Amino acid sequence: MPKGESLGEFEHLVLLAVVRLGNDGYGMQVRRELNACTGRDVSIGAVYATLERLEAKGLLESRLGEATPERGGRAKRSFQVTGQGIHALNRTRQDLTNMLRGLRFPLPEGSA
Amino acid sequence: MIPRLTYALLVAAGHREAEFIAGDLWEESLLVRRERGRWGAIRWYAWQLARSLSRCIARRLCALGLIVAVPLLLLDRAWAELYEQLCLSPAAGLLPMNVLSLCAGVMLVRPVYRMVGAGALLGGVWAGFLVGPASFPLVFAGLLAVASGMLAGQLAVGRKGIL
Repeated sequence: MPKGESLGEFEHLVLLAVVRLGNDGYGMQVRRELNACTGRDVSIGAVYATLERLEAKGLLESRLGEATPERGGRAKRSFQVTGQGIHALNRTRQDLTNMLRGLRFPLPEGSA
Repeated sequence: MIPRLTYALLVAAGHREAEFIAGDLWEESLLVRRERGRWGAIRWYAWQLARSLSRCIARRLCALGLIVAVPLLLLDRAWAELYEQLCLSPAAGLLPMNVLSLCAGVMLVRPVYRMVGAGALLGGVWAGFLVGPASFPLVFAGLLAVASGMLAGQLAVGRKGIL
């Protein structure tokens, strides 16, 4: 896998969150999903920076929504996973499965 | 008004997603308000905004190299203030301050000596500042706190070879 196409841990989680949100999630929903599933309290700025990076890699695409009064007159940007993003997720999952094969969890203390 | 101000702050900090972050924060704060009340929502909003701003500002400072230059400049200013005062006094803290400056320099230049430098820094502050003559505590403490905070932050994010 070329280096630019590999997924960092946080990128992986964000990509999965977008899939979990039915491919129509926006920043704050992604943040909420991450918090609910992993307990991580990340800033909205960090989430958007990652979403932007994933979009630049071609793993996500975004759609602009209308500005609404509930959003203080600001527009919404929702994200969908691309075919390339799905491919990257499948490949990462396969890599993890391969690496985990033969290991028993929880790993015993002092096994390193 | 608040989303507009948030947007302006985020744009000033250089956030490319300012429009969407401002909207998301406002929308979410309305939900938080229902759960935690007005003050809870204000606290939540301020905290989220501060985190997003600080991240962006830190990234910009790193990119410009200011994360190194600003703390060094502040430290230099702090030492200048200190020497100015010590020369006019019985100079009880002069020697510790020389050692302190040297250790701070070593701590910055050679990562492996950071722990040694940090220990000497604390000792130097104690000897030269707290027990020595100090008629300028607020200026010195302020400069030192800001500079140390920036350097500590930089060390915490794992930046190496800062000089």
